[in-house]
Amino acid sequence: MIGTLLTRLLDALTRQLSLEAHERRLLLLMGALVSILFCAYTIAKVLRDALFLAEFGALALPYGYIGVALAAAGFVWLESRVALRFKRVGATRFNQYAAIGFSLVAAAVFPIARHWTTAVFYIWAGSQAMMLLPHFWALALDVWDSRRARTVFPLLGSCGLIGGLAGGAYAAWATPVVKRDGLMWSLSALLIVSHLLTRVIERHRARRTEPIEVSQTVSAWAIILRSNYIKVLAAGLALSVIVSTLVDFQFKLFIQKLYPDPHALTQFFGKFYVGLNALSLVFQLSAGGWLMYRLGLGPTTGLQPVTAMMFVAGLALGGGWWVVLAIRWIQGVVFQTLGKSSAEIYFMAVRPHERRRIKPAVDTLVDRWSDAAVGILLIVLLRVIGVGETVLAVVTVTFLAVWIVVLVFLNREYGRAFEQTLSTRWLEPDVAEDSMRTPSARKALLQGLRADDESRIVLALKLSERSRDKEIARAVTSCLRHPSPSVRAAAVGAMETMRIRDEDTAIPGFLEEPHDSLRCAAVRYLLARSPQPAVLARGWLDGNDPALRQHAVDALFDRPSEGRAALTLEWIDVRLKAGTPGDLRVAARALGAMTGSAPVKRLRTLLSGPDVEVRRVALLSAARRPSPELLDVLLPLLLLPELSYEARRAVSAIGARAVPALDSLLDGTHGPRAQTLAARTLAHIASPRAVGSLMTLAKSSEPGLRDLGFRSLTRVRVETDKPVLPRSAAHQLFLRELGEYRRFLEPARSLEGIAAPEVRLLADTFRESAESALQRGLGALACWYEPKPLSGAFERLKSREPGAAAPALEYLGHVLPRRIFRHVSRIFEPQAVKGLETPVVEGEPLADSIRAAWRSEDGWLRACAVRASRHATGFDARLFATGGGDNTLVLAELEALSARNATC
Amino acid sequence: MLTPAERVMILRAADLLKDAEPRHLLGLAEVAREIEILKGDCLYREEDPADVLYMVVEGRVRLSTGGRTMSEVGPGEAFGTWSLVDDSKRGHRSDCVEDGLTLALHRGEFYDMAAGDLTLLQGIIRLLAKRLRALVLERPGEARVEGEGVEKPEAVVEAESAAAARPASGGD
Repeated sequence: MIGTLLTRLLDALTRQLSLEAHERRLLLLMGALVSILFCAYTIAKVLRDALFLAEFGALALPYGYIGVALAAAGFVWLESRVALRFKRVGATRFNQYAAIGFSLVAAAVFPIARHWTTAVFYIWAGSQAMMLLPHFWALALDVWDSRRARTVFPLLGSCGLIGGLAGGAYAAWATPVVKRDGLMWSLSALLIVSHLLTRVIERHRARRTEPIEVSQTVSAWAIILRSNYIKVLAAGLALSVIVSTLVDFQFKLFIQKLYPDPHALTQFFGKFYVGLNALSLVFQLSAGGWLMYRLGLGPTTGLQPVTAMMFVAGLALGGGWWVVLAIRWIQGVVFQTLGKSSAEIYFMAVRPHERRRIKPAVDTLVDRWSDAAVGILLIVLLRVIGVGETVLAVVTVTFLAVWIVVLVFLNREYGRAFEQTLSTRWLEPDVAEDSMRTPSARKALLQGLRADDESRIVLALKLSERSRDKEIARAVTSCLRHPSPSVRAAAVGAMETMRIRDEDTAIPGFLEEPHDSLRCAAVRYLLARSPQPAVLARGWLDGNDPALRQHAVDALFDRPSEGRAALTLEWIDVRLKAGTPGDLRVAARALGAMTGSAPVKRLRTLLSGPDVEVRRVALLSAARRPSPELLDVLLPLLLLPELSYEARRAVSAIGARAVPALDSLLDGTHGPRAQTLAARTLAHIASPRAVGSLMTLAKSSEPGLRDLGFRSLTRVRVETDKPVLPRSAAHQLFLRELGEYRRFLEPARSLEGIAAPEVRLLADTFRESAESALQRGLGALACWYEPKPLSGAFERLKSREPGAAAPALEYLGHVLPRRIFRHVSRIFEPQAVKGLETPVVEGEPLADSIRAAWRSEDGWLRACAVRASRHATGFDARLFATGGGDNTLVLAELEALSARNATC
Repeated sequence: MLTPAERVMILRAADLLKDAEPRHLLGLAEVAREIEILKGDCLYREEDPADVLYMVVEGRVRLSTGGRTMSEVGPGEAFGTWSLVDDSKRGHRSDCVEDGLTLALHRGEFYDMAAGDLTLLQGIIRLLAKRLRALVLERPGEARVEGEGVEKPEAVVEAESAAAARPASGGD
């Protein structure tokens, strides 16, 4: 009976949490493990506090805090050594063996040497024993993603609280029987059981796909120091510990006065932890998860300083014994439940391999060093200065205020951390530049520059351009003597960028080399370094070497001031008159280096000529010297595939004055390709008028045009780095597309079970329409918000892999207002997904889908619906008699359907 | 005459196009040509350049090389798929063994259409990359590019050895 009830309860829980069968088993095991760990830890805390207060008194606690901090630092260092040598599993085992060893020794030695054992036990319980819990949470974070963590972690936390409750109860009521010695032996037994359970769980986890674990070469400290987010997180954790330690110290001062007898004190602490854990459990199961979802992460975390403030106020106002105890319980409940869960979720924004490295270190070290800081502060205040409890309360309130400020920063950095995760598809140029300066990058560059492989040297030379290191500069210069002309050309290019002098005057000799790119690089370098570049260039321009002439013009094109001095219209006209393709290309290129209106007429002639390459070069020059007078010749070139790219650049360079001409291509009279090209060009122009034209597309009733509009607007957003729409407009457009997404996704899902190719075509078309709507929706958001993470969010949201959407939802939940995100979570949260699925029954979902497709204005979707109607038994095809319009796709299918029905 | 929807359904049978979304195949469907085949017709020989993808709508086609039959292709199946990405010689011949109809997609027309559809091209590249990755896993020695190392990074080797040395998971 009880077994059946338990099984039903487990089934309900599994459904509620959307767990697989093997995950349920894992959850049970982890629940059991965390219960035993908390039970053991609670017994350890009871013993630690009771023994210490009895043996040394509350005023000695600050020394205890310092001792614990030093011991914690030592254990963390030792653990990091172990982690560097072994994988994480090895480090966890080490911790467990150490804990079991210590507890056994303490239990054995306590009757003989009470005083020293008490001191060592206090230090051990506050340092090494604490490290067992972070390892458990690190294990849990590996198993579940961030969205499921919000539902599973409170449950695991509840299991821990039940364990804590049991531990406290055992300590409270078994002490008269087993005494404190017996409690110590019980602690050892529990630690041995937890170790055995951990081994079982690890074997169970081995069946799942594991990331490749490699020995680490970067220390936890290096990871912490290089991340702003982790530093702010550590600061937030430290302040929470400082405040809770101050609160706890004041509480113990108060309690010690009430319980002078050591056994009574032990029993009191046992009962205190029972009450604390019981209240925490009730809170966790009732309001904990609900608060997290309703208020969000930031406000939930903010409840902690509020409850701490209540305790301080209660104590300061001289509340009675029960008042102080009650408020201490409330403060303890909030810290233990919401505090722990939210801290674990803040860790989710750290990358998994870094999280595994730093979490135990941050959890333990921040806790203990914060305790030590409190210890030192209390020693100074109480022993050195000799202040009273009122001053202690004021100090506590000050720390509370600082903590609230840090929490605000932490919340902001949390959103940024996810933004970064979703955006990292490429390395930003400034990040690449910074990365070139690191010692390891310098070493790699030097190795590359001295390598035997030519392509490796060329790559190293390109990367060296960002370096300012002298040794690298010397290595670059030495590449001038390399036998390969490609390497020498790359070296000359790097020397030009790095502004390195050619001490050996080797480069002028390269002008006589047969290798074209080497000559080109030499021309550029010599022009860049010459005191009289115009004179030097004129020599090449008037010379007999056409290749050198071309290189000179190309170099002058990139150096307009020297170009204006060296090139003349007379020289250009001579080239134009010569009329050969080579001369025309050189003339076209040279016109790009000229200023004024004179080049425009000549460019018009070249742009209208027959040679594609000449027109291409002329377009590049037109982009350099934009003029609205050239619009009439540029627009037709925009539609030529072979010249479209260059023409787009030339038209964009004209700017806002080109918008009316581009609007004429947007109306569709020149075809869809012209619309696309015009939209892309408008996106490059990015002026307010251009954005206005693109908005017309984004608000169109045709999905294809809206698609084009949003993609172009996103391009504007990226190029200008400024929002292109008001936030409210972006939200409105997003919700419209989200509604479309849902409208198309439901029929796609309902048709999933039907195998007929025609129905599969309809289902896939619905899904395609849904994904397009989703992409448009995120494109609408990108008109206000950062586009890069939204692009990453789209890829994850459309993925059908479980757990892939979690980081995207985490990010959207953080940046969007709650009333907007609610619409997203309704569609994408796991519980919502179940609600959207309908049982697949032949006939009905198909008929509904066909009707839904017919109601849309999408010709292709309608055509697929007509096609699929052959499989909808009992479907009334008279629906197709109305509203078919003149869409050729639909008409073709209707005709085929009639012909089929006629033969049947 | 096939409707566009029928053409799209047939195109989805081609290996290279099976992951492409329907709308992206619509453009290809418009440029694909219907070719009637009669028994005994030779669609192409071994030495002919591979430049057309065929999909059988009706009828059957035999693919053979050196007089030996490799396979027979029936309705809903495609052959000559890789002609879309590879211009080497066919290497086999195809003969019609049963009257029917094929849908033919020429490489030039495919690229003309795909040039304006980045998504279609991305999908095909993704599929090719997946195939290449599977091939590399299957035959790493043969898949090695000249000049590239064959040795795995030391850290990966260590991790794999440690994974292999871990005790096998038993029952709970």
